[in-house]
Amino acid sequence: MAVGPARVLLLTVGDRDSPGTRLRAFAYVPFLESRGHRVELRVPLGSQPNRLRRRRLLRAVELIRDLGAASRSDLVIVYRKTFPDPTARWLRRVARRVVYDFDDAVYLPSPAEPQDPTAVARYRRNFDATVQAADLVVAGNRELAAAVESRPSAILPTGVDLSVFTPISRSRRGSGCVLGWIGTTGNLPQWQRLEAAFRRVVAAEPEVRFKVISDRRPPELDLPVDYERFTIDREAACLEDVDVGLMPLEDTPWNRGKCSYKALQCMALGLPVVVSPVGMNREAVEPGVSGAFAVTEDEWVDELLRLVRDPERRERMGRAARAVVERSYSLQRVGVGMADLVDQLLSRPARR
Amino acid sequence: MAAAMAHRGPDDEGFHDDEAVSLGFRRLAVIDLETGQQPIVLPDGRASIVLNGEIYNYRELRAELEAKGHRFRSRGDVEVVLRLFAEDGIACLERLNGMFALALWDARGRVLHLARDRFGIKPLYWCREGGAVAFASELGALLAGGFPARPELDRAELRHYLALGFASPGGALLAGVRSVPPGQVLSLAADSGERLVPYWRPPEPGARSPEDAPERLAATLAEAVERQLVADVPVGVFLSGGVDSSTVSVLASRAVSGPLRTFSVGFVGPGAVSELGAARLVADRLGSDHHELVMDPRTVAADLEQILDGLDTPLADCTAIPTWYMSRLARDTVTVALSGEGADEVFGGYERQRFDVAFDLLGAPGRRLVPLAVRLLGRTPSPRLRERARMAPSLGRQLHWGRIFTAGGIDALAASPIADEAAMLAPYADLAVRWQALARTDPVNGRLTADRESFLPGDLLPKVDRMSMAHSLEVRVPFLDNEVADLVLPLPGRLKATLRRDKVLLRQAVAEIVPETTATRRKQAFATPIGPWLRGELREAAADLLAVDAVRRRGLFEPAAVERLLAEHLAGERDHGNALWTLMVLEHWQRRLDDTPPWSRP
Repeated sequence: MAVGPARVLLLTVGDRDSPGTRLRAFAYVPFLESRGHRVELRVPLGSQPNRLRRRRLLRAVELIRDLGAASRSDLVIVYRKTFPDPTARWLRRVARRVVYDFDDAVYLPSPAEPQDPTAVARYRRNFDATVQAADLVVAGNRELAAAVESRPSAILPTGVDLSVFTPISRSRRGSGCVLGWIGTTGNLPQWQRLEAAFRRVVAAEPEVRFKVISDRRPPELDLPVDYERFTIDREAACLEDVDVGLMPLEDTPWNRGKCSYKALQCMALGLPVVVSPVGMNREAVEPGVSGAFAVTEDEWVDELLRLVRDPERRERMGRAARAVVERSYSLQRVGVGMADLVDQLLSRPARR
Repeated sequence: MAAAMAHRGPDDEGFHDDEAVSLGFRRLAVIDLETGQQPIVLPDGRASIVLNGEIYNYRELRAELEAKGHRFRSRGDVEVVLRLFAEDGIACLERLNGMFALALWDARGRVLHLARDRFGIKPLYWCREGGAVAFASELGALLAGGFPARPELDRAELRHYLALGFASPGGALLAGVRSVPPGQVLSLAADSGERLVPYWRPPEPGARSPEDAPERLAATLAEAVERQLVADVPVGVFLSGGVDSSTVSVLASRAVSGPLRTFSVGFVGPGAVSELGAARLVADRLGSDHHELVMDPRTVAADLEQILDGLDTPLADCTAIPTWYMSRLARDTVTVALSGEGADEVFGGYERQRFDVAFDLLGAPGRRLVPLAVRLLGRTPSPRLRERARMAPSLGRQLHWGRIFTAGGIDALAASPIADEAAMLAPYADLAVRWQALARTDPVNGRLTADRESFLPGDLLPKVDRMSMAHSLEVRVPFLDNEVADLVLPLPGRLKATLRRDKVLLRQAVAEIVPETTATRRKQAFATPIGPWLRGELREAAADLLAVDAVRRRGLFEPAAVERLLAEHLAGERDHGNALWTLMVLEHWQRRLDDTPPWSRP
């Protein structure tokens, strides 16, 4: 029953400043609109931390507001937010069609949060309840999709905006080489784990420098590290002086749910990347072609030195890396993908 | 000719010739592995047979014949049919419960009878040319035999194909070739020409509904599944997780000793939605030996040519792709698989059936308001919906729900006029009359009848037959068993589908035997992601098959129109996946036809 444009509601966690929301929920909007749909985007009231009492009140108000909006829409996309069972049931009752979209292991507490069994169980319960409310679940990678058992699921990676991330030819003066890492403070420990490997690299090649782009300056290490504070308008420019991208990742259930965005950004700029072969990194990066895998300290040192010492290798791999992103991980592709899935769901009658 | 069908029967081949007739056969050994060769000829030579398919009630029939003094030389089902024919003539066809396409040569009366099962599960094409008649299970075999001598596209069928994605009943996309309609027998005699006669007519739907219909249905289904499990080779089940295949799986699991083998296929990549979880749920409950295959679109791209070749005739249904992979997966472990096809056409599983009935209820003035109502709900009615809202209740309107290209679309696409839109429905004349009668008394059954006589034999069953036979896998469909059909077809439509619910009776009947989530599960919502594939891994194939030069040389379509379709799709503005696939399948088939050299017969 091909009926045309619809009212789509997007419920998100965090606003434009929150990376996931910006790269997924907000990113879908123009593609949905190009199909003629009217999109309403709802950002939680008070994304800034609030005093506890106000916070609970705010959440209750938000909920009522969101459910009201849901009942007036033809389709609701919930990004990342999980609901406890009673709320999830309400959502299912009130909404005509629900798509649940997520790009992190939201069925687990994040590493920064308490990991006691009660918390772990609660996260899983809420995730399961939210999934149950959905007609379709969209996950950022295979590992995340595997967590969805009872509902139809699709995989949409977090895409890179190719118009923003364009390869720049770099002419490196001298023999220096910059190894870059971009991420939030919460993830910085992943980078810090490689301290010993970095030292060895610098010892072998003194011209090497490191660059960290984050929301907070990293602690002082005995290493040549440049820091730049992350801002959205420089999200691509901040990597301009970087030669190799790094994405070290410990193999944990939470990290397996990551969507390789750090690596993909660098690849989109035409940079080769060295990554831990964890989760989606194994799919996004082809070792020897667009980048390299490294697990042990020795491997990190070897792979980094190979790239540091061989500008031609960097160039070649960088081009291959860019091609991969163009082919499979562009925002364009992902946006159209979500629009297609939404259209498919819309072409069937609603539950109510 | 037989060699061209080796994939249907890799195990053996056989031939029988007399001065008037040549019968050839490629065997897939399923029952009676030692003595089941074909063709089979009666000892006194007065009749012979080739049969593709299975006769599930052969053992009862055989007992009858033995009581009459027949001595069998084989243990299988085909000899039973031959001897039954010797006893009762063509009337014997009505007693066969199975899937079949057969040729019976009455050497004495010098008549060739070609017949198909009631629903068209097995294919049978034939062609008369230059004083000779040829028949075969596949167009490829006919072509290999030089029939027709100069193969070309049938333009009337082309319109039907562009509209609905398949050839008309009784027709074929190859000019000069026809298909024996389901439930009918074509008798060809040298002097008295051809006679096409139904040997079975579907029962009229009635108003009576027995109270214990669900229980009787459950028992009948169980028997049908058990009957169709009979084989001398391993048997498995295609399991998608929907209520149809789950029912077959559960019933089969009860009838076999040891774990049942079940098979599921899914895809990854852009646009692919996995519903493997639903199948896993059932497989876990059954403790079945469950095999899953997850395909990457890159593999689809690599296999595309093989898949398209396997279609044998243009079929636009892109679910042929998962069927091809499912068949290949199953073939690793079994030779026969049961599948849930037919349930939607017998029990009322398609939304479009219910929508069309709803349209009826609105009446003509109401229908005209549908686009407005849609607008009031804040949505924009699609051109297709608006077109349909203007149509009076008719078979044509029901078929419209499944159209790929609208009448206007075909005309815009065509380089020169392609046949006549009105004439397109000519093959359905008889059905259209019955449809109108049912529209007044039992609209739901009217829709089901139409689907059973159009979409089922035109698209669904040929798709399953070709894609499974491409891997030498035999697929059986218990929902189309005679006993099941005899029970369900006469039941009133309201037991089958209501405006709000599909397959009511089936779901009731199986409520006790399948998990609750399965019994209430809605039909699979997500299509094969042909749209995203065409933008991605299949982009090259599309560019090749639909290249401006190629379209111009073919001379059927306006290159600019095809180019626009492709460009819009690649840009992501629209999803023209199905339309583009329809054209790609056609072009590929025509290229293969081009490769067939004009045959010169000695």
